Amino acid sequence: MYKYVLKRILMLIPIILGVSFIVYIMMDSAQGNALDVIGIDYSAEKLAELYHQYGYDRSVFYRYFIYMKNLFHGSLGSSMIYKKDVWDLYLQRLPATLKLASASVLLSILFSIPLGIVSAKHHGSLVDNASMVGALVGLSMPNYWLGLMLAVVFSQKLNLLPSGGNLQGFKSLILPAITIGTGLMATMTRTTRSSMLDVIRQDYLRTARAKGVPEKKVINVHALRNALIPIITVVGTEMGKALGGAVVTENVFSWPGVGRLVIEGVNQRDTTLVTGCIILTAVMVSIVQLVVDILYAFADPRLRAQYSTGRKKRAGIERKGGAQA
Amino acid sequence: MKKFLSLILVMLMVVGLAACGKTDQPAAGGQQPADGQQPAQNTPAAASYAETVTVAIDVLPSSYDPGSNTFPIINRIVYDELINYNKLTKELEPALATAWEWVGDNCDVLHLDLREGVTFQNGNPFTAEDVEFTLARNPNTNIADYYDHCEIINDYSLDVHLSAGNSDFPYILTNTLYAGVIDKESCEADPDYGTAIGTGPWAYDLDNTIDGDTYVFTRNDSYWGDKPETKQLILRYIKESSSRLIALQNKEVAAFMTVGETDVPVVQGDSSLTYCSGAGVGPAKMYYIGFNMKNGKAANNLYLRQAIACAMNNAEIIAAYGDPGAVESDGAFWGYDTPFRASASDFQEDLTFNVEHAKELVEKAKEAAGGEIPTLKLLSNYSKTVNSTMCLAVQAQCKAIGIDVEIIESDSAGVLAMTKYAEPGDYDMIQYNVPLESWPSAANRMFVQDSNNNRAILNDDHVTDLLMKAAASSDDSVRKENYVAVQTYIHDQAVYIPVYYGSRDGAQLAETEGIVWTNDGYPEFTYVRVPA
Repeated sequence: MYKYVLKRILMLIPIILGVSFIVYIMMDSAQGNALDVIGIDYSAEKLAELYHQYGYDRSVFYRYFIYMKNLFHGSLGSSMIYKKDVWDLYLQRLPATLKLASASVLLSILFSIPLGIVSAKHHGSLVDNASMVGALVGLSMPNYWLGLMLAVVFSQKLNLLPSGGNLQGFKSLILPAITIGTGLMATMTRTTRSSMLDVIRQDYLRTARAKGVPEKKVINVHALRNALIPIITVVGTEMGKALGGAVVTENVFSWPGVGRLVIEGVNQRDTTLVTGCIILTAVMVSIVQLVVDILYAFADPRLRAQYSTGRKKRAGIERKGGAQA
Repeated sequence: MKKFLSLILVMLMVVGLAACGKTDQPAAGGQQPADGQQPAQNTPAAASYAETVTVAIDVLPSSYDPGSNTFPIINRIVYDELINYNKLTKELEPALATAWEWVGDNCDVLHLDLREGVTFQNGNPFTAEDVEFTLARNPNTNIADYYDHCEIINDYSLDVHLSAGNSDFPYILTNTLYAGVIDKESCEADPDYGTAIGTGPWAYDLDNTIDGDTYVFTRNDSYWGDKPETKQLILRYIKESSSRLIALQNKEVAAFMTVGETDVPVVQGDSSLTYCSGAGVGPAKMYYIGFNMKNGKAANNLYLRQAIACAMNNAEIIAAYGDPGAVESDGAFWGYDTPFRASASDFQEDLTFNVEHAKELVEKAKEAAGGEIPTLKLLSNYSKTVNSTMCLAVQAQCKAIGIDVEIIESDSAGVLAMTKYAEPGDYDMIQYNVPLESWPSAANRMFVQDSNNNRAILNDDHVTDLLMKAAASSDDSVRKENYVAVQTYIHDQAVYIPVYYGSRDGAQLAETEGIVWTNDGYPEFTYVRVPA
């Protein structure tokens, strides 16, 4: 297991190299650069001086090389627009992003897993059909529209919740979390239902019932546990997406998350800021995926057995090798 | 199983709760005092107005340096200029300089007497050295192209020497976009954030500011001028117009800039809100069509440019977008209500809207082109509705006279880059806007060679010569003669087709006081206050 974790951590190196190269080159190939944006009214001399200072009088590969050199010395560089360390800017936004991502995922887990189980258990019933229609509606509603409608109802009409920002603690979180969570809930309900349907028909559940295991235990322990792998995959994927920033929802609720920072960086062609934020997001997503992989082992004894088999095998080989020696 | 589900939930809750911890952000978005603030001062003003006011903005500042910041709202509250331009009276007024006069007749040495007893927000005294430092480092072309050196007479008196005569230089010193005075000592100590310190009525609260989202300011209690009634001002970036409106209706903000076009009737119909137009106050944005004179397809075809000018129905374009405060152009590409403006009688060519005349010009253009007119590429920052609406209207009007126009959709940075580097085939025309200040030389940057604002990429020695002659003279008749000649040339050559002066708006709670809504889209929030 430890070796596996180490291997996954080492895999971050090619991920960082690949992501940084693609983002850096793409940002550079977009029309305009941050210096043109900042220096719209600058004198020609001053602009030329800045071009030289930031290496814009050299090739993009040279600038990328310098960027990577600084990165491997632990510096993500400084935002050209905000004149602030990218790491500091990212950290300034990360709490809001984490807060929103975890709240929306938590919300969707709390509602979608029970609903998916009930739907699968009562396959073809009114409850099942209603939940599937509900899930379809949830999937079909664009976040932009849903967010605005929630703000109109709960902020403007009922005056219960703030319409945006992150200044009123938990109250500020509710509407954006529901907006993101609704779509996620729909996906997870459908996944849980279909995964449970696959498992429910398996012979071992029939056997468990025949042995007199209570139905509640059959569903909640034997069936759900075996149906969890696809659900964990969806949770991990959605958590990763949310960590990258839900730009539309962040805009509607003026939520100061990472997504909005990146979008503003793109609009202002701040290559250092955008590349730095995306590298950090890639690292975060990789960590989430690693956690998901570890959770697989908890959820599925077969995978856990594989890890331990691998360890035992290695131990066996070593013993054998030792004996031969 | 239960253990497993609990594990997932606990992990998510831990992450969530960790992120929900106390942040450094301001405690309230409305009119509540922030955490850790001192109780209201025991003065009548403090007792009667809310301590904190939040205002929604739809544009982000680009820097903490007034020389680079493209967001005048913040420059205006954090810094002071040497001279103030009163948008209501259109007069120059003393600010950090109490008096100014030209030395000699060439308009190249400006003597300034400075206000004594002024301090920066960090307590450093304001002196002539700060003025010299501000002007010498200023990267803005309006200052850098003219500034030569300063001769400091004493702490509160100096002569500013220009490299060439510019009778509008006192006006240039009023510009909140780039002329705010900064503290030499703090800038030298901290080149990145030293520039964030000014002498203005509000000081950055950088600890509570979230870059690109929420900007927090505290009142400068040692301000030399009238002090604001409010103690803390928060500018909150809300990009979506509908979200801004909801935030205002919910009283989370006291005002916001830029009402969405579909939200205007909503604001006007809500008795708790006030619709505020800046029309007629201060500089206005000129919406225009410019031709790429460097390598566009119409660069060498005067008839084609004139035909398009005649095909454009400005009133229809204004109606299409529905700007209630728009003022239709009279053909002169010049600041709104600005001295030395040309009139229709000065123009040699009649390029007013006339489809028949436009069609005649198209025929001549075809002869000049030696055949058919190719499809013209119209470049625009298409992400804004005001621009896309205008582009579609122009496209339809050109179609009516047999000219096909293809719209090249870009964003602000893309337009900047394309007009700067203008490779052949990139674009032939540009739809854009420019805020023109109310002094004569404000339009210069549209015509001067190598200026970033010269979107037509006009490189005409005749025009440059006329502008130089006008700027270098203190004789109003000479200035008028040359400035009118420039406008006539630009009009007759149809380099730029001015369409209209747009108006900018905003909305506020009915009880909000003290905001000056201006036409450049950057209202003055210095004295914003909300009765407690």
